[in-house]
Amino acid sequence: MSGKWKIAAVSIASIVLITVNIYLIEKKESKVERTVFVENWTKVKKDTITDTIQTKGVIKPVEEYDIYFDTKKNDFKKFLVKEGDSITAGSSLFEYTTTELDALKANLEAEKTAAEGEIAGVEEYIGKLRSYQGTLTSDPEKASIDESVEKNLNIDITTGSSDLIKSNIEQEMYKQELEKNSLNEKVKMLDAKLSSIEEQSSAIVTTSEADGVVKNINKNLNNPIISIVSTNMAIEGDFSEEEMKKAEVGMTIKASSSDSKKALKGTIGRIHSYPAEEPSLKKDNRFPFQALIEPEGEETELLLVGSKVNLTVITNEKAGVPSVPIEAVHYQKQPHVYKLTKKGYVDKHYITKGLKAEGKQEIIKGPSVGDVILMEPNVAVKNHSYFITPIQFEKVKAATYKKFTSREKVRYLLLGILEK
Amino acid sequence: MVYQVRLLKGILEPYRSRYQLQNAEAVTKLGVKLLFLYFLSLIVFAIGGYFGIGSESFSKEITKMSVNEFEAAKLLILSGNIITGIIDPSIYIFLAALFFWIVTDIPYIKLVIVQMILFGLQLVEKTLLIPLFVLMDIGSDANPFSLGIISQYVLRSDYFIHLFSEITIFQFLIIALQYFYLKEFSERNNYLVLLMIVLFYLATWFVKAFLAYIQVGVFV
Repeated sequence: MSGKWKIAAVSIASIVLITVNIYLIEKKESKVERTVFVENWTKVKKDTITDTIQTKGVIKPVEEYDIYFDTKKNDFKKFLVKEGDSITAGSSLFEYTTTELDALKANLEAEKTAAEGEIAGVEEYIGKLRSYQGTLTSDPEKASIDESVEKNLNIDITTGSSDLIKSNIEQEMYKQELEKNSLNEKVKMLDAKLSSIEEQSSAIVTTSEADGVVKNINKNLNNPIISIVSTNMAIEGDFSEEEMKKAEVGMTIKASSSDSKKALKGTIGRIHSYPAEEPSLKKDNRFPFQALIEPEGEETELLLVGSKVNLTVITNEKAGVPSVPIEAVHYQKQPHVYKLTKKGYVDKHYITKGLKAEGKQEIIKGPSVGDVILMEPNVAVKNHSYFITPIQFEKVKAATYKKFTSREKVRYLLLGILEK
Repeated sequence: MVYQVRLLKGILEPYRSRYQLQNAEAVTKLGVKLLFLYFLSLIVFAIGGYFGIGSESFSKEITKMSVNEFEAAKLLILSGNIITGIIDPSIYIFLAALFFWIVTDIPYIKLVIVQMILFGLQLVEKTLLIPLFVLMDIGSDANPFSLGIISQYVLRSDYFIHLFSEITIFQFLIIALQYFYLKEFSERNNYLVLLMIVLFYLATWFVKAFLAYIQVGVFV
């Protein structure tokens, strides 16, 4: 055989060997032991996983009260506050009088005048009776009686004895005195009523029900004539349809704005179950919500209405649960991770997944805290493969060597020198 | 005639190299090439160590140690690998040359030069294996140039699997090249020379298989 033939034969033999070898390595159910090159690995950590919604909000007062005024029945007098005034519960807002009361007053006054007129009449009559009585005793013959008096007395003067007439007159005078007294009482009563009305109508004042700031005064007296906003601030924003599935009233929020360094805390107070605008197929429907801010010293009072804030809504939080980065979880029918075992193998472990957020995956069932997990394996490796890892120089600390005994140091050095 | 040591030529143009070396009266550039070989060896072993090649038996410590301890221990292992990167060429070049000097009648310096050329080939094999091990997720027992894979289907003994994984295409090439050089240099019977060479390599394979078989960590 010449040299060329030799080279060709050796080359072919080599290629055949390499091909067979690669086939034997890569075929399914291969018996060949593998050593997985594990570039990144991590330990299962005890961690807090927080699922959040990131959205934006704007600072607005918690509530707005509107005050209405009926111009038909009432007469407006004047406002007692200005726009921007801060008020407390019970503060006077404006004065008015009612037209109903005016009518009542006029009635009462007429009644009083009538009563007073009657009193005057009674007094005059009593006077007449008295003068007749006087003439009757001094000179009965000349006594002439007023016709009006005679009618009232119901006696025949011409026929009746003077004694009878006298007693009749006495009776009549008592009656009239009684009448006068009762009329006087009536006038007194009317006076009292009138003065009480006077008191009311001079200043009917509407007061505020709660603390707040006068937001708007309507000088044209169109309703609402006054709008009051509360001094407590809230954050308003809206959720998308997707976010609505997760959001619930009572969830904790954190808000941060560019103006204040301190983050605001609070809870979701209200979520509208109906979109802000008419529901539509074309648009992404937005559902308004309001988050209440937890008062925290003076900071919250300085909040400017209208400031924009970045809002984090905590929809789910699990503290102290075993977690791995989500890249470490693989899916092939069932979710699984690759665990590096105490015996030096890479083993596939099926897991039951829990909460997944912030790039972390909670493990409900599977490897426990402290177990070493392989990150991003490129191939679905054979179970029970060995593994090797590259050095991460940045994690080598000189101080660590103090923890090793000299025996251990020699051992690791010898491992490097002798083992293949 | 002055022979200039040229390692790559020694592999690629064996006939010319052999002729020149056979008639050499003086040798130049030996020291420089030797230093270069040591340097290359150091680099190749360090790179292998960086990827953790050969540290399978240590990997299980990952569950017991903290991250810092694990990486610190790995740095010690890497230091060990680098030391091997110096010991390995020393043994292969000087000790092997000594062995062949004893069993043949070839001048020692010529044997050293031949060993240097062959060590270059050893390094090529080792260098080629690093990306293969890393990318194919295999260890030295599954070296695709070796008989190790087939032996895993046939044999049960770990020791013999390690042994067969040492027998590679490159090793055959090295033996052939060594025989090619030494048979011309030596006055002795060609078969005897071949026998000595094969015995030498068999011994190294057995030793290496033994080192792979015993887990150093267990003893120290």
